[in-house]
Parts: sequence; structure tokens; C-alpha cells
Amino acid sequence: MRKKSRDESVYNMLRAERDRCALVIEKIARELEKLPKGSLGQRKVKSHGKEYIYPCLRYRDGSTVKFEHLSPEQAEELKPALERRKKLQADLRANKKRIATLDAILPKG
Amino acid sequence: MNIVFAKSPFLQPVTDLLREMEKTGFFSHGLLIGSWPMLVYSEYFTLSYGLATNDIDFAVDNVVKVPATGDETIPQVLQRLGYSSVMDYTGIETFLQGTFEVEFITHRRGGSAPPAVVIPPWKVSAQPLPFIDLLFIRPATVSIEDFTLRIPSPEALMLHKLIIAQRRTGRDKKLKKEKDLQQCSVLAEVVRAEELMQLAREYRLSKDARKSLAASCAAIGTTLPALNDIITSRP
Repeated sequence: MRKKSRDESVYNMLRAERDRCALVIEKIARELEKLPKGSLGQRKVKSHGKEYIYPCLRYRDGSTVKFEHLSPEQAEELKPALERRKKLQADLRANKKRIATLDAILPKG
Repeated sequence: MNIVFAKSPFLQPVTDLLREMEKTGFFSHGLLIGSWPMLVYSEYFTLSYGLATNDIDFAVDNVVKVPATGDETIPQVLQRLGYSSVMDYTGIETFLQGTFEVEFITHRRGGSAPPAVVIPPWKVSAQPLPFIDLLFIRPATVSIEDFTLRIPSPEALMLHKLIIAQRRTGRDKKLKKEKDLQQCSVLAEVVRAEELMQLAREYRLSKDARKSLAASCAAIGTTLPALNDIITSRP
């Protein structure tokens, strides 16, 4: 029976790229651990007939969503770190997607 | 060697990155290395190798005392282009954007060196590695659309890869070694024998480097007489 020949170098290149993406994911995961979780928002509190608006940090803790009141200064300080987290999470997703694509191309085993 | 492309052979994000890097004056003392020069040579010489991974490595000369062109440092340029700087525990800095990973490498003299050094005038942190200075000998100039960059010559790239293929470390060393050797097999079709010899003479390869060279040549089964002369000549 005729055996299909296959250029292993191409597959090895793809494997190397998959391994590289896995290393990038590890780097991003380590970085994400250092960054605050959640997103900035505002909470309205009604008291004595008046409505107060506070900046707050919303984040998930298990199955519950928590709200942490912040001062406007704290909220400003947190902004760059939260934006960085968001950006790195997008990079993480991009790398996971690339690994999934490469896994689909690469022969199993 | 001067190469001119009317249209960029790179992906758009890579072309944008290279164009911005050129504006900082980086390529006066820096090179695009890794698998991207292979893409240039496959296009230019019509070689059957067009694979490039999404890690973009730059080599930078560590003895530079030149003023940078432009107001921005390289980390600032990369940040403007959407790259995030990530520092690992050893101090090696990587810039990430989606699946692209940008790293800087410089020449390591001797056996030991800190894991990263900051290179003036671009204020970029680079990882010192051996044999990087070999890549800077008579590099090729590549003009693309409205900008120019530099890459190692095919001969320097081949010699470098033949040596480092045997010295790869880390968990992906086997795959990287195979990739290095695969690239060397392709470059063997276009390298100039005289330039290979000249490089070896100028660089004064050590006995160990020659051993690595011999092992790689045997692995790819190359019969280039110039390489044989380099291996058998006295250091």
C-alpha cells in the first residue's frame, strides 16, 4: 500500500509555535496574578432622600459578584492596572485560540 | 547585499512594527533575526521555506553610544503600537500583542552574564546570548516600501544556526534544533562559498564552535566544500 509522505519539518515548526504560545500563556498568567481583578463602575446609594454616586470595583468571587467602594483617587489609580489586565486577557485568549488551531492541524499523539 | 521589495513580505502588524522601529534609528545598530529573515530570503531567492513563527526577535549591538533618532524609546514605541511589557522573574522583558511576542537579544561575551542588560540609547532590555556578534558581520539591507531594515546575511545566518543548533537548551530544544537545521538546509542553496570562508576567517571560530558546526553539517548532510574547509582548518 502506498504510504502518504509528509514533511515532518512543517509539523515540527507548528509544534514549536504551539509550545511558544504555551510559554506565552504561562507568562501572561503570571502577570495576571499580580494585577487587580474586576472592572470599575459606579454605585448609586439612596440615603435620607438623596442619591449618592460612588465609584466601585466590581469583581467575581466564586459565584458571587462583589462590589468594593473606592475613593475617586483610588479608582483613578486602579484604572491603568485594570486596563492592562483587560489587554493581557485579550492576548491570553488570542494565544489559546492559536493553540486550538494548531492542535487541530497537528496529528494526534 | 541590498534587497528591495515593492510590497512587504511580512504580515501587516510586523510591517507596522518594523516601520516604527526604523523611525527610532534602531536598525543602524540592530537587526531583525529569528525566523523572519528566512521569510525575506525565501521571497528574494524563491526558496521553499516561508514559515515564520509569531515571535519577533531583534539583535542589538551592545556597544552603541549613538543618539537615538526620534523622541520615543523602543518600549514607548511598542506601547503605542499596543504591545504590553511583561518581565519574567529573571528580568527578561518581552512585549506581547495578541500572539506576537517581541524580544531583544544582544551579544554575550564570555561564559556568564546577567540575564538582561539595558541597551542605550533605546532603553530596551536585551538578553545576552553567545554568537550574536556573528550576525552583525556584513548584514543585508532590506528596503520595503518606505522604510529600510537590516537582517543578517544568509551566510552569517547559516553559520550562526549551524553552531547554535547544537547548543540549544530548554524544554523545546529538540524542536528548535530541527528548525535551525531545516533553515540551514534551505540556506545552503544560496550561500556564497567565499563569503562563508571570509566570515569564518574573521570570526575565528573556536574548537567547540567548529565541533558544533561539524555535527550540524553531518545532521543535514550538507556537502558544501566551504563548510568542510572551515571545519577542518585550524582555529
